[in-house]
Amino acid sequence: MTDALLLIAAPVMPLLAAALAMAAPRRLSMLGLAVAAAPALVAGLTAGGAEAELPGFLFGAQLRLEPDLAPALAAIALVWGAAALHGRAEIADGPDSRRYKACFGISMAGQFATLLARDMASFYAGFAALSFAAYGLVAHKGTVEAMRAGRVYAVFVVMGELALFTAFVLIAAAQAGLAPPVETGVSAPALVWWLLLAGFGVKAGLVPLHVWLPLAHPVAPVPASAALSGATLKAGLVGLLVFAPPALAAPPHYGEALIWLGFIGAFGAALLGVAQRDPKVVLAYSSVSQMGLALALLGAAAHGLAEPAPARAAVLLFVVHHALAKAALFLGVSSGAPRMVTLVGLGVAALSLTGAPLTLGYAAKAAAGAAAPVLGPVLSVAAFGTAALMARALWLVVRQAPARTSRIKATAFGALVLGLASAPLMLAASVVPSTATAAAAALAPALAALALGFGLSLLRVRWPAPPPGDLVVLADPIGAALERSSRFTGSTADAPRSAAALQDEAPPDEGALWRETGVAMAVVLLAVALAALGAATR
Amino acid sequence: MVSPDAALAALFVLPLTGALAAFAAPRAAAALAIGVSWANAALVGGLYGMVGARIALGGHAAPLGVALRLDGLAWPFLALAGALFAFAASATAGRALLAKPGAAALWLTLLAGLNALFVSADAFNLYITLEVVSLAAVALTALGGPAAGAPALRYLFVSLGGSIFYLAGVAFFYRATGALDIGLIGAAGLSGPALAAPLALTTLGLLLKAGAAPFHFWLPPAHAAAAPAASALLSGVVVKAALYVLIRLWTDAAPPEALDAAAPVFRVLGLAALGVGALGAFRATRLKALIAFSTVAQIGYAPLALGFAAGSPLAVQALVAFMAAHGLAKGAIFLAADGLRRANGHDALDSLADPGSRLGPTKGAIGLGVVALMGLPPSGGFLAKWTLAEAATAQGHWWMAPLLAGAAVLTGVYMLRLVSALVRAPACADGDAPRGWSALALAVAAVALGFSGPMLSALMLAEAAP
Amino acid sequence: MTGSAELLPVLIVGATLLSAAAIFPLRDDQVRLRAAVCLAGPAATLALVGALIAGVRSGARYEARFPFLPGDDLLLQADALSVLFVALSSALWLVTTVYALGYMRHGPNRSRFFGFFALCVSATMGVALAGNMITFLVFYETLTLATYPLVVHKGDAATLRAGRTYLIYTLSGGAMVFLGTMLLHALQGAGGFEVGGLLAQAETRPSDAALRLLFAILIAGVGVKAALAPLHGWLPLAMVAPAPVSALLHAVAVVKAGAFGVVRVVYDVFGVTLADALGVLPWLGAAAAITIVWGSVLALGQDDLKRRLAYSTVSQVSYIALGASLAHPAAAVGAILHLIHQGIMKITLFFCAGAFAEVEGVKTVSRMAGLGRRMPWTMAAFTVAALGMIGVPPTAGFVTKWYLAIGALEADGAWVVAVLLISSGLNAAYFLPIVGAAWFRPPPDDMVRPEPPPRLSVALMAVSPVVTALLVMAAALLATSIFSPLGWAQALALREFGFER
Repeated sequence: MTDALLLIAAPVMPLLAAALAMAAPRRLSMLGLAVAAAPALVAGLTAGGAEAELPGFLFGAQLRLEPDLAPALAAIALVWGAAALHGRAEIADGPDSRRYKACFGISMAGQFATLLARDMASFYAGFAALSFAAYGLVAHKGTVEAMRAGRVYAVFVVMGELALFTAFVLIAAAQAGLAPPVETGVSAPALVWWLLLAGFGVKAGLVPLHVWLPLAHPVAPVPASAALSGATLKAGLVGLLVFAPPALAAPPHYGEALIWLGFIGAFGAALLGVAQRDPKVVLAYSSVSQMGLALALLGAAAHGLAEPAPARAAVLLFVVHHALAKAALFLGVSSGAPRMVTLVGLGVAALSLTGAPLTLGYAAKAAAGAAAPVLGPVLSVAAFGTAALMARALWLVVRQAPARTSRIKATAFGALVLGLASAPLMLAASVVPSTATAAAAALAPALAALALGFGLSLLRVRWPAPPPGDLVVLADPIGAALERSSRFTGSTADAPRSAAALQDEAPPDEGALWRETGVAMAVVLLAVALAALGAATR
Repeated sequence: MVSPDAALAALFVLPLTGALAAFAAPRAAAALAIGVSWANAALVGGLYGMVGARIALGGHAAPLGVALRLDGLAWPFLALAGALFAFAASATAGRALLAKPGAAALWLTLLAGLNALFVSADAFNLYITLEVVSLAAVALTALGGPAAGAPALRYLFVSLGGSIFYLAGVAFFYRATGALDIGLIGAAGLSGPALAAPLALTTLGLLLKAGAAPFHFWLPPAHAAAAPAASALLSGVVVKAALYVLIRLWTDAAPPEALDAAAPVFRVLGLAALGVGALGAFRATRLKALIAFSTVAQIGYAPLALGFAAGSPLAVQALVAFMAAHGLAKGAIFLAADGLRRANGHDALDSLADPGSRLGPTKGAIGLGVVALMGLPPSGGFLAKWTLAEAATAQGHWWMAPLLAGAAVLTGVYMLRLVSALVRAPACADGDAPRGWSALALAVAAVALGFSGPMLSALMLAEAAP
Repeated sequence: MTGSAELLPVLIVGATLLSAAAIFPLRDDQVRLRAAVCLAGPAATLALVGALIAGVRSGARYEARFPFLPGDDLLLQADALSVLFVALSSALWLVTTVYALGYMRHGPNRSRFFGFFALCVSATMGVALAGNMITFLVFYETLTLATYPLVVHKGDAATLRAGRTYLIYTLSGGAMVFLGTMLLHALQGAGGFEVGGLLAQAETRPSDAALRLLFAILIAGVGVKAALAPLHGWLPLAMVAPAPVSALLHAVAVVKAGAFGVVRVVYDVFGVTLADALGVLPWLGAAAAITIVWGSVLALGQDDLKRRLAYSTVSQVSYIALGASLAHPAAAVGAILHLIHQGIMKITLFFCAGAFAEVEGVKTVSRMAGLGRRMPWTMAAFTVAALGMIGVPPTAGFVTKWYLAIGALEADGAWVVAVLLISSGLNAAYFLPIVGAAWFRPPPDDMVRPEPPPRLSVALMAVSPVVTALLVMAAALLATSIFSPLGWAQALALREFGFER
């Protein structure tokens, strides 16, 4: 009974908090949003397997927390909660902050609903709430860049929603019910799989549907970026897992396509990202890259290269890991903690992403490698790309003028880093390499990236940065032409609030900054290496 | 219980006495006319229970005596006249007209003539009463002022010409049958030229008097020039008198075969009237001209319905409904148009403006009147249209249904020029303009007529009984 | 059944007529009295409708006959479909009246306005409760006439021109319905609407050609008001009317009466089975599909907010015809539901449009930037309704689209899903930029605000859209609860398709 209430409270509390935010004083209401994540967090930690039913709501809503989804719910709830807390310090007061809080609460509620819904209508409602309300997070600043990112985001969201609507209707018509296909065992027509791929691919940053992502993340406020990258992307992955499950036979070429698109994302994003000059853009490309790997794993499962059950487990472990790590990295951009503390926290998160031993990332990568042995080499190579991205991101963060310290922000950042560090214990995931070679192999990418970065910075190489959003520039002329020819885009009088581009700021003393980062990273790496070696040889 | 004799005789004795009294006492004339008009209306109401009565005046039966009859066809016309006279007399426009010297006597003479006409059962009496009606009507028209002189004169000539044709036709009938009573003429069973010639002559004369196309040329100027209350009567009931005689002749004096043979002609005449009237209405620039041309168009429904009346009581019923609906609606619109004109201070059609909320009844009268003219449900016009369409389609004339439907739209479009005046801003309130309650009452009656279907059916059955 | 219960439909129409009759004679300066009368009418009607719903739910059948034409009676009756429409009309009448009391706070002829407003509802009630084609025709035409003074309320030259077009269109539509009624009368005699189709139950079936002609005529007649392309030309022009009128016109009265007529003709005059057998439904579906796409495309290019909303109505109302044309129970549910759902969504949008114009002087899409900050409640209602139009859950529009799409797929009409998708995409394209700009862009620099209306007016104009926006949400969130129209629509569809008598 309590569990059922928890499941219902998980999406309802954020909605209430959003409503409260419209009325209540600022500090209290932002805190309310953070507290609103609590039921979901508690449910994720304690209520695996719980069920709840809401007859009369939508087409008869059914909620169920699958036991293996519970950790993902907990991690995502932690991300939302931390982002809300961070926002309390980050988001300036004013009418805009109410709008932000409303959008934030609705997005959060929507995401929790997608994780809990067991009927398509509720899932779709949650997914739509998440997608549309997140526009408010992307466009919050109202600058030219933010509005452009919002526009691109909205176009992709609408396309994705339409694809999903069609897919869901097709599923419902084929099986005469609203339960997800995995429970009915009815394999939907091929078209449905492709539609689902398109619909969820938008959210998960599947190439080439990812273009909104590098545009949106940097223009959003820091906590919003953390929530977008840490949490919302996972809605796409979980959606695919639930509605196009590895357990059902996929149509021909589906698996291959997913593998290849995943690879292109994983490596292409790393290449494009490493050249960016805004740490948040680098982190966004890193997300595309990471999601590419997870999607490739799903593709492998669909193609018969991986067993369904381990693949599902690996993807879910990946969800937990990436959610915590990426959210921590984004919050680290404006952490509010003293510089060294920030750097250590960022270092932990970055190392986790590269899959260094003793981190959750190591466990995730090991699970993926075990589920799909074919992917092993790819994962190893990709780790170098990730490491390079992390080095670049951290370096860029350090280059920034230090953020003002804030206890609230620091608490949020700390909670995520702590969660990331303690997750292996709670999940009983193995983070210890079995051999010294494995440990060394897992550490290699990070070391290589460190060395490379150090070398490049000494050579003072500057390379041209490709525009964030890469492929979307192809569409820009079309968009501009549309804007000229019709009046439907509304006012263009938004120039006054245009933000100064980060890259135009005069760079601080690069050498000094790099030394600081390098030292911090080296310290963390050394500690990890020693501990890993010790653990492996014990 | 009043005897039918006395009651029927009262129909013309009462107004005639009133006319004499009005002549004798000019100061009380207006009040007298109003009172008698209302008393007449009450009398007609009371006569509803006596429908079917037939009396021989002075004890002489037909063929020699003067026979009167009150059947289901006559009563609706009596009622129309009664209502129009009563409300028109009470309206401000009516009181203004009655205040003129001689007007009250003419008014009551016209009423007496009409009443007598509707209950007359023989062709010669019909001629006499038709003459009385025409002369009184011409005189009333002439009271409209200096500008009305020429139209009134033209009206007089046309009317006299029509009378001559009609009288010639009646003479032919008398020669062939030796009877003047319409029923006896019908019973004589004429055929061939002996039937065709008198029928053609009388019909020609009546169409002239009714202003049915192509003889409509005199009507718009006369109706537009007359005083508003007179126009209401002219359009509302005087032209109906000639049409009433036309119906009488063709349904009672002529066998159905004859009507069947003449039906195409009547249909063409009816359609022509609809077209000509609409055209004139579209081109009209003055308020009253528009309304007058609308009369020309609406009169067309009479020959049109007659074109389907051979052996079809339903079509006759439709005809009666048309006449009654048009009479009430047109009376209402003429009276209300007076208020609209006075509030605006001019009658240039396309620059008339909203007469203000004080004239709500006037506006309502015009709105409802137009509804009835267009034949939109649930008005009397709709009842007429539906009945006619049903009669026509039952005879296989499917084209009538779209035609009637289209005619409603056409009427709506040209009457819209009048209706839009009711809402055109800025409002032009005039404290002196009459509010228009009488007009509203007539218009409400025109709409309420839509629910009289069962009553009309019953009346028509009463007529069919021996 | 008692005598008074039989009279319930008559009382409902009568109550609306009575309130019209009570409003007309009031002077324009009797503001409070008029407000009281204006609110008493809908309140009383709503109570009567409540009694009617309870009665129909418990299985009572209401019928009142008056002799009218030779052989044809005026018949007022309450079946499940009428009750649905009556409930919508009376509820939205109340909300719109509240809104209009805030909106129409100056200017001449306010008594005339509110009087015709009530008359218009009266006619709509009659259309809903009509038990046969003649009665339908009577109220259908009355509706035309009652709305004309509302459309041309401003009375300037441009308005009168638009009113002329409006009248020509709707009168022509009425003429077609007259013709169809005549033909139906000739083919079938006097008969009322029947579940499963009046004509389907005829002993001798008229020739197919005659039936097809009848279908074409009747659909053309009701299609004018339903703004089925190419008969939709009047609708964008009619937006010259004051906002409450546009709201009522688009949501309940005129457009919806046409759509209701389509449903009546397909389901209760012909019956789906007969219409399907005649092969006329694909044509109706094609016309509806073209209207849906064409209306949306035209809406894209409109800068005037009300015009954009009007073209959106053209598109959205045809969902009803599209659903009715599919001959499938789920699609029928979608069609019947959209009668309600389109009403509450579109009325919200028009309420908002009117409030923007009155309070902030914003009438065009290009000047809507920044409105979210200045009128947050109104803009929030607008956002909800706009998302509903796109079909985003959890809003009413989603429920409709869901049922339409399921029905289309099960009836092998996958192309319908494509139409729905295109339409949703276009809806998003013409609504989302508005919503985005209103919330996230700063207001134009050259903003000139009109003199602010009194606080009470502003409050009334804000409360109404918020209430209807909540209804839009509730229609989806509580879709399967007993308060939702979905249950009624499902029961209706099942009966129509003969699953349950």
